[in-house]
Amino acid sequence: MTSFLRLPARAAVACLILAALGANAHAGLGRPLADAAKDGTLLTQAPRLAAQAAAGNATAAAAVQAQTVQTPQGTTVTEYANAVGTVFAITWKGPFKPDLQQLLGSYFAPYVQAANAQPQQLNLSLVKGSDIVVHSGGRMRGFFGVAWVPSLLPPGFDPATLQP
Amino acid sequence: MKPFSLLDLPALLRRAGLGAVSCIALLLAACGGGGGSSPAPAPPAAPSNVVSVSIRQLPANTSTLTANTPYVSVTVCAPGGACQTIPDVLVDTGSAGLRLFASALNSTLSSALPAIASGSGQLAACAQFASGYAWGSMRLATIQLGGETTTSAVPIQVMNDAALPAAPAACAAQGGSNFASSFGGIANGILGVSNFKYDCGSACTTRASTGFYYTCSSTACSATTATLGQQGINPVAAFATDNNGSILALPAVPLPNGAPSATGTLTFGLNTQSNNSLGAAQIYPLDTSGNLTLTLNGVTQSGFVDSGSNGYYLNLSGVPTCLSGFYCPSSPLNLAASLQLANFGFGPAQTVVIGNAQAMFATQNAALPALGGTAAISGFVDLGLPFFYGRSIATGLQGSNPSAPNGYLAYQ
Repeated sequence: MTSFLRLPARAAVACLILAALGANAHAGLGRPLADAAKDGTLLTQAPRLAAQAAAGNATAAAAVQAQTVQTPQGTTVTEYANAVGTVFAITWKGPFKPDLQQLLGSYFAPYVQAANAQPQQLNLSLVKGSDIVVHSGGRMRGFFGVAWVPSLLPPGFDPATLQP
Repeated sequence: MKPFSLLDLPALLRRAGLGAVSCIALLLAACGGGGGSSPAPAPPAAPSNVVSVSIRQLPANTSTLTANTPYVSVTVCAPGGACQTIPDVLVDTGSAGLRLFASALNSTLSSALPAIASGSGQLAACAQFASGYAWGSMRLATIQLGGETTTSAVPIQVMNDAALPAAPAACAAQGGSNFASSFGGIANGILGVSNFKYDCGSACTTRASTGFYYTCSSTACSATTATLGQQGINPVAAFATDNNGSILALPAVPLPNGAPSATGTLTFGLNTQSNNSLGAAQIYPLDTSGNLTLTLNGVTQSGFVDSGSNGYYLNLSGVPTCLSGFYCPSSPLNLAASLQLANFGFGPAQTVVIGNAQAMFATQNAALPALGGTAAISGFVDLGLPFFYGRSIATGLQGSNPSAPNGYLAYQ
């Protein structure tokens, strides 16, 4: 497995392809929270802060806004934005996987590159790429996960506490 | 970097000064090589509803070590009669349907498995897993597991089928790795024997937007719906008898560092034969996602039991990690897990042991009963393959028990 997973040439080609695909308009990580409607049907606005305040640093959490959407796949996605309105984390939960390319935006390519460079099992994946962390779990009919951009995290905010 | 059913440890091997030769020596030892005494008496014939499950390092895989990956042999036949037995197919209690890599099929069989028509083209699937996706065609095959045979040719997925265009953008956009490359040396396929009858289910019969099914011409694919009869089906559900579930049973292996290999059984049918009686086993109903509520050391969480995860993945506070998120306590930890019953009470506590991953990996053992790591999200407990050691865990199919409409788990 390792031998062909780690062929640099193959990875580079994959990245080029993914970069080209990523040209579509997207919201998600690194983008304004106001664009969340591009990712799905708006469900709720900013009500999740109490939970975050309880879980993380209260001062940091106070500046966090959240928006929940339902994606075309039927998956519930919540986007978390920092004080300047930039989405720094997303969570998802639903019967199908969401379009992570759209939700991760420019962070999708480094995520896939890192995923391809590590060994895999079926039903759990914890990937740490260049300024992107993606934890994906679940099985057919029930997927969930969380992704965040370390450089965009509000100070003191612990993304490991995020619940889909 | 992290957890894998398929644990790949080349760096550790290099550090330890070990390599492929050592792996081969290890495998020979595991197989009892070097014997030469009088042959053992032939074992009694296995009942027809039982197949052997092995956990071991694959001889052909000299670059990678795996942990807790359960393999079975599966025979597939084309309607015309050509058959092939595919060894080393991963048993996954978390998905439904049989998926085989095209590279594992001989040319006779691969050309003889009929495609499934969809629109003006043929049906293809982007099978979804947490770690990535498996792209390939849906084709019809009769499936044999031991003495059990599907009553007709049923849809299976031929992963990485060269007859198809490359995975469409919507498939790759789900993220993770393409199994065509990430699983090639690890398994010849995936045998999904979950609580569900179909891989996608009713959602895919009405919505193309799930991202699961596609119709393909020779040059392009587009999202489509698929009827239940076109979808990947749990082979157990398609057997003539013994079709209400299965039991994955693995032997206990030494704690905490395991054994080079382990051999267990996958038995078909629940309460249909003398060898698959549930007896006094408790019934643990699953929800529409295949999950259930459980307690871990008294704390209520969500979780699942899953042969497709190579370890226990759960959050523990204050336990040191190493090797990118595996737990490496200085001495083994005993945890207590209780699954929720149909009456909302909790079943008897089951002991879960978390050992030191670094010490386990150093053994190069394939059967690691105490392998644990951090959870994907906090509050979710993945009781992976180690939970099966020393237990016989039944997976009941949806619709087979009125008290558990989505299916259930059961064990003594």
